[in-house]
Amino acid sequence: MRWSEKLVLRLRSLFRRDHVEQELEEEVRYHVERQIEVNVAAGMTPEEARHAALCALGGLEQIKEGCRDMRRVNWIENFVKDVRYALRTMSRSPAFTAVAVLSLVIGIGANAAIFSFANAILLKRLPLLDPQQLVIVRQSVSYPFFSQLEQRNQVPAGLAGRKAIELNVTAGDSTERMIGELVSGSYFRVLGVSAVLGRVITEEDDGAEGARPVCVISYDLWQDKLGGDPQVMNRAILLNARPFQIIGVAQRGFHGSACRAGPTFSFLPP
Amino acid sequence: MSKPTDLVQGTLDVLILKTIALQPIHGWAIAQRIRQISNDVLQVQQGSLYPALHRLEQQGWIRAEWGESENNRRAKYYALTKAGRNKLEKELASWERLSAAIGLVLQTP
Repeated sequence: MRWSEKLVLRLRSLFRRDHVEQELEEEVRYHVERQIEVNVAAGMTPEEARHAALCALGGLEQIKEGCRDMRRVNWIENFVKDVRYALRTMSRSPAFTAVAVLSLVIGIGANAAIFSFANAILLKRLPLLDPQQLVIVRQSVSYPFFSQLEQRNQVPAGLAGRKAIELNVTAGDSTERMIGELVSGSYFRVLGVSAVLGRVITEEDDGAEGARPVCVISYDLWQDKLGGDPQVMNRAILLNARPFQIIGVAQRGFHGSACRAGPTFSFLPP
Repeated sequence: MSKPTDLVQGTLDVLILKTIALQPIHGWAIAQRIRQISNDVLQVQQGSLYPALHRLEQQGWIRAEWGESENNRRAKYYALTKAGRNKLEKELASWERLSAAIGLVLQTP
């Protein structure tokens, strides 16, 4: 017998249960009647014959239950029965059920909230080359001051400047308020972030005044607002209504150094 | 004549398969035939016969079909499948090995 035939057998026991039960009943009844005939032929009265036949079989219901146990779908039936029983019991004491459900909801919700917070703060790392080596200075400095620091070059590993700003981003057809980062040309090199498409901003872009403003967009922004267009490099987006040339798409998962979710992008100071 | 003996444990399946292998047959007749062929020595517990038949069917070794019985009544006939025939051969070989081994031990003077 192939597995398909076995499957038919199982499905039959599951979905045509009444039919299967009736067959079982008929099969056992046939047995009892044959035995009665034999017993009568051996000289018993009909009642005696019936009694003897049932005794020999040892309990009709037990036999039927034994046969049911052999169907491999019993556990499904039992499971459904258990679920129904549970639902019935719960509906009988709605107050208890409400308290139980509520405490589960609060418990799971609180755990999820705490975990997502702890995940962002403690566990998740910036998708950088070597995040443990990163030092963030939370002191704002002016751009000329930063330029001087950079020129003196006293930080062996590298120095990068950033400033998060909120601005109107027009990409595709829609305009949205988003958080972006103004970054220095060394930013991507120091953090070790690369581009999946095009290139990242380099020191070369720390250009002369009036140089064409460029930006790197985040992977999510590229996917969500620009449809993952591979020709995106030929397009410009408007930041606060000023056109910026897109020069690249940052690696997936990089949303700027603030570890924030959401489409963020980096661009040069205009 | 002594009382019919209960079956050796684990032999019910092979007895059923062997009985069915001769021709399609219904449950009641299986019990009768085993008893007759064994000269009333082997008595199949009727209570365990039907669960065993259903188990063998679920395992794909026998197939059930409804048919007319010898006294013109509807009865459930069991027939051996191809898998069942293979199973029977394996069981027979294993039984022969086992009984020969037991015979060797018991006949040692």
